[in-house]
Amino acid sequence: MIELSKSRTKELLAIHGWSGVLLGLLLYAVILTGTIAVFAEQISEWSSPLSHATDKLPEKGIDAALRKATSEVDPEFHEDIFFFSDAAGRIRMFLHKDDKKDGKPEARGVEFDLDPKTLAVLDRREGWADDISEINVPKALADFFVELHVSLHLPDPWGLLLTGVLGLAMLVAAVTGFLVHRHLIRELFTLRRKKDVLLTRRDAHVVAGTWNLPFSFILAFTGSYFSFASAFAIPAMAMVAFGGDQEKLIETVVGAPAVENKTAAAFGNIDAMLADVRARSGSEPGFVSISHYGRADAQVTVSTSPREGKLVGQTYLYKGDTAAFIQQKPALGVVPSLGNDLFVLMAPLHFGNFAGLWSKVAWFALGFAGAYVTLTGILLWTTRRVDQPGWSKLARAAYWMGYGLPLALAAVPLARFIAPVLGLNVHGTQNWTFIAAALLSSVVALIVRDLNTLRRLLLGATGVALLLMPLLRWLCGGPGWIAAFDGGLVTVIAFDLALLVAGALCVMSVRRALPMATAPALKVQPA
Amino acid sequence: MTTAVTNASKPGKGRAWSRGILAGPVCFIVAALVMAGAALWAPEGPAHINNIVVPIALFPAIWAVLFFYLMLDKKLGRAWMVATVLLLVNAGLIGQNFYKVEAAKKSHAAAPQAEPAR
Repeated sequence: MIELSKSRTKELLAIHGWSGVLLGLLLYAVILTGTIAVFAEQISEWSSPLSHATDKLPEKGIDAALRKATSEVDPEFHEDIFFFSDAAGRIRMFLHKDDKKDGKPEARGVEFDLDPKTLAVLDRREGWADDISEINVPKALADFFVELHVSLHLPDPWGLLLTGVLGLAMLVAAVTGFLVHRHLIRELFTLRRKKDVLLTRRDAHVVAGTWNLPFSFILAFTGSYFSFASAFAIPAMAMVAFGGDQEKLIETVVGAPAVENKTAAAFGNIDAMLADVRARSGSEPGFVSISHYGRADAQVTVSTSPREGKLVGQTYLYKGDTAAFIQQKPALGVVPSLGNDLFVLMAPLHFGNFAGLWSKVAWFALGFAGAYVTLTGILLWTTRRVDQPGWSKLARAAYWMGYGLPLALAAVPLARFIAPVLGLNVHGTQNWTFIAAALLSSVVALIVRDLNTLRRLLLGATGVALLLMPLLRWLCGGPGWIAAFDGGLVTVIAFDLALLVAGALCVMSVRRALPMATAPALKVQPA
Repeated sequence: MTTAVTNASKPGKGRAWSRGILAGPVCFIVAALVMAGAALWAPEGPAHINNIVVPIALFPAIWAVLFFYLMLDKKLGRAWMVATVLLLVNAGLIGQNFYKVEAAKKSHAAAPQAEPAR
């Protein structure tokens, strides 16, 4: 319990409310899409499965595949190469050089998708890195949700700046939410079921919010860090400390660059280097980066996935030409440092990927609770001020966003499956379907006067879209459950079942009237 | 009566605007300058990266501390003064560093031209 004066509590409560109300609807969108993005890997596995599931790099064959790939591309793209296990286990290998597009640093090169079992080339994409990602079909669905979460599909740096500001608003709401709790422990368990609808809803908001406080704080902090770091912090630091040279900043911060030697040299065996990493670390290689392939100063950096019981992985350095081990190093710098510790903690804390599926499930549940707290917070605020016309409009907007956004999101996978069948661009079709569904729900929100009817319509449509997903996936060429079971594609079956259950729950809850929506004051508000 | 109320509410409204500007855009700009300026005054640490990485990682914390202070300090003038001092000190450091870098660049560029004369 924190002792605050009445006036200080009032101020903090005002900050808490306004931070949520001013940016709450956009914050809800970011939290909801972030909750979905927790399962980005699984979404790719579900929407674009291979016949055999894996998330590991093969023990043999990468060396041959790498040599074949390098022989097929312009040698200028040997400058930087990276590969890792990506969508549904496809090995994504990008051979590129650091270039400038419209004056901004951008990679340009050739990207391959390799089959993790046969190492056959499944897809070849060429061009600027951002253009290449626009034609990466296996990642299209996951990328849609991730991009919506990261930048709301707005151009850089504006989208990142906006989501960064939303993160700060969430941080303020979390801190003030903590400070204004006069009886923190008691409020964790207080849920009064009385006839006062608002009181019950207020208790539900406080209980969910209180349990969620530490998580909200962590997500808000790490989220705004990720947004602001790439939007302006790294360029600003490069400007101050390196005269604007961002590559120099990254080279300095990563540490241990090889002494330049442009002499041509054969490249060592990458399979042997990966085997050495497995032996040293006891875990699987995750991300592999090669600089100056085919030169005497070639260097290989291998980052591993975290070992059982560890939060972060390790990084190993090898000499490219001889495959000799150089050193184990932190992700940043060559010796342990506070900067490295902070840096490596950010990703697992934000993505919830530190303990496999279980931590992701926990992050999904907590994220869902966060979206609930944001939405109910706005509804409580507007319900208390419903006699003022402006606030009643915000209440309607909250219902539109609260139930219309899930509908628009649920329409996107349908577009993902139909677009290839019709020969349409997958990314474009997904985007336009989302916009069309969002516009449709806006029209419905303007026409339907009763908020509970509005909720029922949008929720029912979302339920139908969710129920259609597994069927459409199968009809558009995806594996059926028997084939998925035979191929060990557990994610495909689990996702289908989860969607069917979620869809059924949405349809069933249509029958239930939401107490807040039936509150007399809200019911009569015109559109 | 109405006039009196209107007059009385004017300073309150002005203070609210001033507080809003201070805790909003001014706070963000000062936090960004403190972060960037830290590259010059924060200790590098054993890996020589702490002065770059730590301020970037802690930017949300820098902003949050500054925001709550600027929002909650009862004395608005003092809050403005603290924000201004932080802004000027860090902007000054960054400006001085730019001046040094540019001067070094100029002398570096002038060095090869001077060599033939020697």
